[in-house]
Amino acid sequence: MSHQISDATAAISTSKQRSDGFIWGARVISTVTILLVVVPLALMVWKLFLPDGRFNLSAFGDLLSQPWLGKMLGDTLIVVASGVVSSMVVGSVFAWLTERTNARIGWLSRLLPLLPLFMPPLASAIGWVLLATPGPGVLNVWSRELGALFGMDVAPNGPFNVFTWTGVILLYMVALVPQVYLVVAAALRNVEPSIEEASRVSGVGPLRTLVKVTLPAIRPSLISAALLAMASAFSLFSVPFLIGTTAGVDNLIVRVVRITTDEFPARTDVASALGLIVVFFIGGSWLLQRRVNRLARHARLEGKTSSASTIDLGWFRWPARIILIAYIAATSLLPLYGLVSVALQSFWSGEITPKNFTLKNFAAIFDPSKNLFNSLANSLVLGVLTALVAMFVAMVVGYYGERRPRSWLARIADGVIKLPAALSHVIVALALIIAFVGPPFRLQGTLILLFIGYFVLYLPQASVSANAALSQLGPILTEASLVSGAGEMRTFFRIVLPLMGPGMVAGWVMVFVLAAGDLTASVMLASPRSPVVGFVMLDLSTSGTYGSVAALGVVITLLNAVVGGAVTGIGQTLGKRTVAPSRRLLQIQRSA
Amino acid sequence: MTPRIELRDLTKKFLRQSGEVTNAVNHIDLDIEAGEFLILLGPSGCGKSTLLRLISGLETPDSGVVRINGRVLFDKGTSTSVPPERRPVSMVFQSYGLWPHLNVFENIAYPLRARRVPSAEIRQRVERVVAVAGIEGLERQFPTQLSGGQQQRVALARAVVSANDVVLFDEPLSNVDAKVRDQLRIEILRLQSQLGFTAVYVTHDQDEAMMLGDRIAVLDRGEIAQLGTPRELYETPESPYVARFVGTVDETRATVVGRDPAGHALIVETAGGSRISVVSERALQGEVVVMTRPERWSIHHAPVTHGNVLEGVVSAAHYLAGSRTECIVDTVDGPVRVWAPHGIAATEGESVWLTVEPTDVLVFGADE
Repeated sequence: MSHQISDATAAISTSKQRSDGFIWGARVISTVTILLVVVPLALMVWKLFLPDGRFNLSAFGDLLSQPWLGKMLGDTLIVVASGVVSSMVVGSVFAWLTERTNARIGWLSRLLPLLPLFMPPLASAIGWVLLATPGPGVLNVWSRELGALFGMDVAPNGPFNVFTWTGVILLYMVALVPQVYLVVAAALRNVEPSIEEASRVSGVGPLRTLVKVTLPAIRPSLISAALLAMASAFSLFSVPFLIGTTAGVDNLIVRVVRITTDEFPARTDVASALGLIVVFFIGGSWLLQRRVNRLARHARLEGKTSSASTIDLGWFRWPARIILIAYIAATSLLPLYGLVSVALQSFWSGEITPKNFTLKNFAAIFDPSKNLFNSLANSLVLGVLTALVAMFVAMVVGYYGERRPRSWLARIADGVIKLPAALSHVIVALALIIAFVGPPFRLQGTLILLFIGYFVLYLPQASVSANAALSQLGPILTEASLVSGAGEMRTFFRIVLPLMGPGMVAGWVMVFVLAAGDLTASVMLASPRSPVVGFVMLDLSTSGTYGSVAALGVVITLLNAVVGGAVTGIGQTLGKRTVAPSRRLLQIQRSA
Repeated sequence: MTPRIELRDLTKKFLRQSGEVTNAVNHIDLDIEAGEFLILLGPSGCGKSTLLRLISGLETPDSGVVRINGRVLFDKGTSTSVPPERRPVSMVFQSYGLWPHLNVFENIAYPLRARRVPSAEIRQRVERVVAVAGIEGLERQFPTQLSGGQQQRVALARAVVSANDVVLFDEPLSNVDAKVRDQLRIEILRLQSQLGFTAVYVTHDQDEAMMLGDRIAVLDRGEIAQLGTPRELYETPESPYVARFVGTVDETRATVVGRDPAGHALIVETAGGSRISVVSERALQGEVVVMTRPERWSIHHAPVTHGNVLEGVVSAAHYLAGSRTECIVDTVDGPVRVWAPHGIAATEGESVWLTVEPTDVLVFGADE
């Protein structure tokens, strides 16, 4: 037998080996991606400081002479600060309740961070407008009826008014809670339970243990969550635009968008100068977060040896659960109900009656001659394409970096594709306008510009998913392929891609949902010639056509939920075989 | 032609996060003969896995030359660096490295597919190695459905299916339980003698090293502390490091006080005042370290007057699996471990006299 096998060796060693196509492909893809992200930003900075080829700060002078500057900055800071503080409190308490106490409900802890993904920010903001507008707002109608039932007199416009400082801050909080929750819950899950148990058996009660042991252990994550929330709060556009404007709460991002899209000719230089302030805040918080993360890595408590014993809340267990469920229902089902009820009325009266019930708002969406239909089709196609391309690029760059850790190109590419996350969407869109609207590209108002915008904006999410999947895969399986005589190309397509399937599907859903429901970039980059959902919804809501907006909001929310649910479902069935072993492998590597 | 692995002046440094530079592999020269079973043995962090990965091409050396069968695979001087997929080596990983999305057949066939072997031949050759590895009937299963031992057999089959001259083993048995491990050791030896490949095998387990290796290279902080047959390493270790790592030793400080009349042996006096004669080829004087192995002591229940005698009291006796009992004997030179057959061993609290042959005592300079 040995003889027979040796005969075949000769055939193997003479067979032709192909060249490293993968590495070359990865170099090209990395270079194009770097250029696509960096060149527009560089151009923006260049035009801001050297508008005519000479150093000139007139844009800053113009900005400083604007009468609204001071109030706008003050308003923005107040809203961001209160949004971050309130979401930190609510998000952390929820994380603690679901991770560390017997109020935990399994499905709920998975659902909470996913909810905002499926409801685009604009849809939820409009939902709140429909719920809490003085007068016909759904909540106000309900309270008046409830009041009448009990013989109480409720003010004619109802108790709720979303167009107030309180309304704006509460909606900031609602938008930020899931992000805080995600970070804090993950940290609580990773805390070695024995440190809590050691405190408990030392005679310290659960609350004191929380304050003295658990919270200090996750402090880096808490800081990280706050900085993440701050970065998101600075770039939030839907709430300040739709609600803040009416409430008289000025906002930095809204100003940038208005200067770029409403004024003609667009003052892109003043917008860039304003953008620099945004970059300063968001970029600063990201840098801080990186530092905190690096510190956290040193302090991280490795692995989890046993499942944590949960804290018994006693009589408070059910009240706590009810608060959790009520919060989730109020922040997802209520706005969705607001959208649905208004979408089913021929005119917005606050209540569905047989007289005003209609399906024509939905019918309009599916009428191919209408802009609404085009916008939906465009958003879906762009969402699918962006997600596919972004995930593929992220995988290639991620794997390239793993195989060639010393390559400067790989390192730059890895840093650059995460850069858009450290900038506000508005800034990236502004840079793309500066780079691609003028000659030689003249892409203004084209779907290509939107595609580039979505691609650049959501690369960071794609990259994070791809890197997470890669790190779960671990190096052994790719090394086993290489020493089996397979080149990088075969290894990438036969081993890496199939094994990363489930992780890729998750990343794909994420990017699809974000791109299809995108608002900020769409507002700046789309045009009536290239309508997308975010653009059309905002356009209609400013002109008061709430029935159509609500219907579009319902449809895009349902679509996101269905696509997301279906694809994650498929991914899970596909992943049954592959996820478990890679986890096992990870455990093996940890224990080794 | 003599197929063999030649490593010349091989060096690999790693930069730690603290900024400290570690010499994982430090100027190693090593020749591995064709068909040899060579063990790289050492504690974790001694560079044995790194050395293996330099041979496989998964890591690139900082300097040096790697040749297999006379073919240069890496040479810093001429900037030659052949990627792993083009080296005539296979590898078996500690964590198996089986691809969970491929079944057993496809896992084993993968190296052949990568080399564009015709599919009829692939089927034949996979069937053959499946039989050799003793995993018939598992071809359609997926790796996660198999036990650890079966998975490692699949990994072995995958490593030998391409009939490479060299198979590298990176601690392949440390993830399987003890019973399966014994069995797989025998299988690996059988495979190697049957197929005739050159094996380079990394382990930290000295028993495994002794059983499998034609020769063993003991590594210490990136350097080869000693290279030799299992017997040479055990009986004539060249340094205290090797003596401590291969087998079990008790040690004590001593001073050379003279030579015996015949001139064959050194006389040393231990810190506790015992005089011991030691046969050594080394020209030692002054401070030395004396080491003894537990199974080389004889235990006596009555006083002995001549030879190397150490008197003491048994402070503990542990009945070990197999044929022997471990006695801890408190002597003037501290506790000494003695492994004696069950029948002969003493009981706790008993006074005993220990003797050892001068040829069975190891001695090294105190600064070694």
